[in-house]
This record gives sequence, C-alpha cells and structure tokens, in this order.
Amino acid sequence: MEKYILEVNGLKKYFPMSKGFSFKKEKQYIKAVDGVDFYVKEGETLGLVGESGCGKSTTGKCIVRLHEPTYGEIIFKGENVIDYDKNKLRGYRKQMQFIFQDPFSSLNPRKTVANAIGEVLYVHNMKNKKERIERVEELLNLVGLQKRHMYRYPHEFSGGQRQRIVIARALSVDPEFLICDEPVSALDVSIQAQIINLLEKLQGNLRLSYLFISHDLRVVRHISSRIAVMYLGQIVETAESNELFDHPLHPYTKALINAIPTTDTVRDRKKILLEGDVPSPANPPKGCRFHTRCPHVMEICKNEVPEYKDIGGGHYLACHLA
Amino acid sequence: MDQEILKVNNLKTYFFTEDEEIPAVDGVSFSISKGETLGIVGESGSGKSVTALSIMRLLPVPPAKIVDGQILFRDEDLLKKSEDEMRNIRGNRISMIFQEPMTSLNPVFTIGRQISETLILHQGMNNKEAIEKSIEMLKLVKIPLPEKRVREYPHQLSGGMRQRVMIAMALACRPEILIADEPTTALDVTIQAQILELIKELQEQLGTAVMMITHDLGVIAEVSDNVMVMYCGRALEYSDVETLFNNPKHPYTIGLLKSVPKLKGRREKLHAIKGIVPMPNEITSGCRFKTRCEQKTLICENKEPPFIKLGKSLVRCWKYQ
Repeated sequence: MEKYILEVNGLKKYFPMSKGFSFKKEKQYIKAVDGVDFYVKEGETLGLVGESGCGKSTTGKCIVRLHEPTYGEIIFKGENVIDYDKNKLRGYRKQMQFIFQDPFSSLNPRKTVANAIGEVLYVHNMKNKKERIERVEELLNLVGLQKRHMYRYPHEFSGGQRQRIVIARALSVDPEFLICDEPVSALDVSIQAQIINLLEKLQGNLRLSYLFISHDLRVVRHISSRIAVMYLGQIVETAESNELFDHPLHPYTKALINAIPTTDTVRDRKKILLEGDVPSPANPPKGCRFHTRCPHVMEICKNEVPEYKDIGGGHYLACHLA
Repeated sequence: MDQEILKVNNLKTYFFTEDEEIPAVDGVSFSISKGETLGIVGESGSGKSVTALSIMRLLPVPPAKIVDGQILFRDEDLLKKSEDEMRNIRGNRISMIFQEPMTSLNPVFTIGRQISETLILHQGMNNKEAIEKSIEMLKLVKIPLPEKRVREYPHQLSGGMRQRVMIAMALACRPEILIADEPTTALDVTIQAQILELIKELQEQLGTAVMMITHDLGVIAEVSDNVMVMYCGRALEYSDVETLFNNPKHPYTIGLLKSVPKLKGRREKLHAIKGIVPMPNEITSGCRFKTRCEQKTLICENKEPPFIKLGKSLVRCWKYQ
C-alpha cells in the first residue's frame, strides 16, 4: 500500500448566489466544485488541469481552507483537516504552502524581500533576528537569488525573480506539500522554463509533494507524474501523465489535448473542435456535464451521471462510453 | 500572386520620457503579401505590439515618436498621412483585434451598434442596412442566434463570443490587412482552437492578409506562413515557418523552442535561457542578445550583427558570418 500524503474525498464547494430580489424559496448556488476525489502520493506531482471556471483554483483553496468546503473530507497525513481548529490549522498550513499565479500582486510592495520572508519566519516562531536573516539568505540561495537582493523592494524585480521570492517565502517554513496555482502562467516562455526547472530541483532536494494547478497542458505534462482533468466542478479523467497523453479516453481530454497548438509545422492532423462554450456552473447540465459539447453524445449521457471509477492501472474515468 | 500589400522599412519607434529615450522598436523591416499570414513572436517588451500600433498610428505622441522608417501600404507611406486620412484607413482597410475581448468592447452599446458604427462611417450605410450587415457578419463568425445577439450587450457574451464579435467588427469592411495582437491569449485552449480556425477560414474566404502577434510559439506554428522573431526591439530571425521550426538558426530562437515543454516522447529537463529580458535601452552596443547568449564571442560584445541571408532565412547573428 503506497502512502498518500493527501486524500480528497467528495469535496464540494457551493457559493451562494445573491442575485437581487427573488420569489424563489430555494437559494441558488454556484457549484464551483461538485464532488471531487483524488489523492497525492508522497513525493509526486499531481497536475490539475481544466479551463477557466472549472473549479481547479477553488479546489486548491479549499485544501488549505482559504475557502471553507461545503462538503467532503480533506485528509492530510491521516487526519481530516476539516475538523481542525484555528491553532491546528496554523500548524497544518506550515506544512502545506500555496503559490499563487500572479507574482505582482502576491508580494506586498512596501516590504523588502527580507521583511516579506522574515515575517513568515517570525509568525512561525523564529524570534531571533540574526537567525532570521541567515535563514532568508539561505532561502534566497536555494531559489537562485543572491544576498544582495535581500533589502530590495518587489518593484525592483522582474516577474521571474518575484516568483522566485514567492517560492522562497513558501519554503521558509519547511513545508512538505506545495499547492502551485498557475505559478508560471504570468511569465514569458524563457522564464517559465527557469521556474519549472527550479520547482523540479526543489522537489528532488527537499522531498516535496506538489499539487500543480494549471490550464497549460504542456507545462502540466512536463512536471506531473499524474494528471487529473477537471470540467465544470468535477474530475472527468485521471491517469499517469504519459498514459493520459498517449491514450486519453474521455472525449473532453481528447479535445483538450488536440486543441493545443503544436510546434510541428505539419498541418494535416485531424482537428477535434468543440462546439460552444462551457455551461454555467450555477446551472450545470443534467446527466454527464460534458454532454452539451460532446461529439459522441448518447441518450444515456443526457440523463445519467457517469460514475467516476478506476478502469485499471490507476486510470480513472467518468464516461458512459467506456 | 506575390502582391505586397504592406512593406515596413527600417521602422524606429522610440518613447521619450523626461530623462530617457527608449528604443521600443529599433529598425524593423518586413513585408506582407495578399492572403499571407506573418507571425511576429517575442517575449514581453520585445516591441511586437508597438510595431502593430505604429502601423495603425495609434501610439500617443508624445511620449512615442516614430523617428525613422517607412510604412508602405499599397505603396503609400502611412507615416505621411494626415490624421483624417488615417481615420479612413483604420477599421476600413487595415483593422486590428486586441488581446482583451473584455475591455475592447464598449459596455454601454449593443453588439449591433458597435459593428454597424464602422459600416456607417466607412461604407456610408444607413442604420437599417448596417444592422443587417452586422447580423450577416455575426453569422460569418459563427455566433448562434445572430438576430438575437445583435441586440445584446457585451456582458451577456462569454470571452470567446466577445472575441468573435471583435473579429466580426474588424472584418466588417473587408479590410486588406488584419492585425491580430495576441487574439487568443486571454482564452481557453478549446476556445483558442475555435478562434484560430475561424481566422484561418475567413482569411481564405476574404483573402485578407494577417499579421499575427503572439508570444505563443504553438499559435505561430499553427497559422503563419512567415515568421519574424523579435527581441528587444529588433528582429533577430525572419524566415518561412517550416525553416524556423525545423531548422532554427539564431541562438535565441533555438533557446526559445527548447524551452517549450514537449507534448510527445520522454520528458527531459527543460532548457532555460539564462537571465532576464533586458530593457530596450539597456543594451547600447553589440548584439541585443549578448547578455543571455551561450555562444557569445568578442565581436558580439561590440558590434551588432547585420541581417545575414542563409538560404530562405535572415538571421542577425555573427555565428553565420
């Protein structure tokens, strides 16, 4: 039995909608995350992909309880995080850190790098100033920055450098798990590669586990050992990453992979173009959520929700076709 | 067949601030023929958008100033046109789609009103004709229920739909050139695929020349005939799309292609170009790429390489001298 560092079972997050005056007695909800199950093994990277609005970021935020989940279990190292009180939550967040997409807004413009990272150390009980400075220096080295960067302000850094600072800050408390929410989406291609390499190196050296949330399938394929594909608040397919790219089974996964522009200049590949847009999560389609856009839609898809199950070899799928 | 519509010669657009001058575009030349797609690729700050805005003459003067060069549109220099003459060309013979479909539509006017505005202005149509034509354009860009959509406001549409409206608006007057500045960057992949396909289809139908500006090498490979790679206000490599992707020559192009994660085969460590993109005014002598190049020699430090012709491509690198 392999050890799961994180297990998420039946996670749901509904946001109440307040849309002015309504005669309806029932309250309406946006079902951002609607029954998500997955696990992350120790030392691995699970990629979570999907288009905007599919609930991937909400899932990430629920795991660290920045959003309170409506329903479900989040089991970190054998304990259900949902039951944690404020004190225990602080300890938990020390082990579980979060990296956000936009390195421009996740650093306080009025704090130097030393202060930004030092504050975290102070909060987590490193009260000696000299020790803190030493630790900050060590962390900056770890992410490829230098001592001389310590007393500068965020505006003096480029996007890639800021993302390095954010990573250093996340690592300052020796976490075991990092949730990276689109960490390279705001960066240029050549800088993207630098940050991805850094994340991989750190994972090897510090034995970290990652939940890597992104809409960029290329990046996710590169960094993840396994990938989960989300659509409208639910996971439709999970598999080992080569398996997912070589043998995608869900029509949505197929379309998603097919839609990535390739750098091959041979232009005769068959295109799968999806019709229309993603439906609103306030009023998701009945049955399989993808049936409104699916090229292989059958009668059963419109009424019955397909079961999300293991079809062998750790390949999970929710589709009536299989 | 090879009819050149647009020819840009040695375009230099500088920005002048109180104490600095920033050469955002510094001596760029290219041409686009009828029905062709030219892809311009580069990282942020490479001057690709400024090039586009210079052609449209949409840059605020000051701080921006086009200090040198020619922009020949059908053999007429756009830089010598008056503002009135430019207004007749913009949106009529050359149009542009911007990156943000959320902010480039006016939220207080209906879709129909916004598309018909160009038609009324440039084609002298009356209101009714213009609305009918707008519906036709919405049909062309494959928006379902165009008769209904034409009366709706931008907030009622999704991102992909809004970008379709932008395209409908840009193509309403059948322009000869369509400049697309990162048209799919804000969209999801499946929607991006739809929009790229649509632009390609319409280009074939209408024979429009397209200038596609993007940072995404995949998009470039997908749609372009010719590609120009920009870095720090300069073109570093200019060639046809097959040569560029199968046989890239400039160290920057090679590095850029290697830093994109692959979709097939074994996963290897990504090749990252070291360092950061410099500011356009940081490098005053020698090759623009010298601070990040792994094959730098002494000559790169002091003297900027000219465009060297190698087969079908032009490369700005001393390696090929």
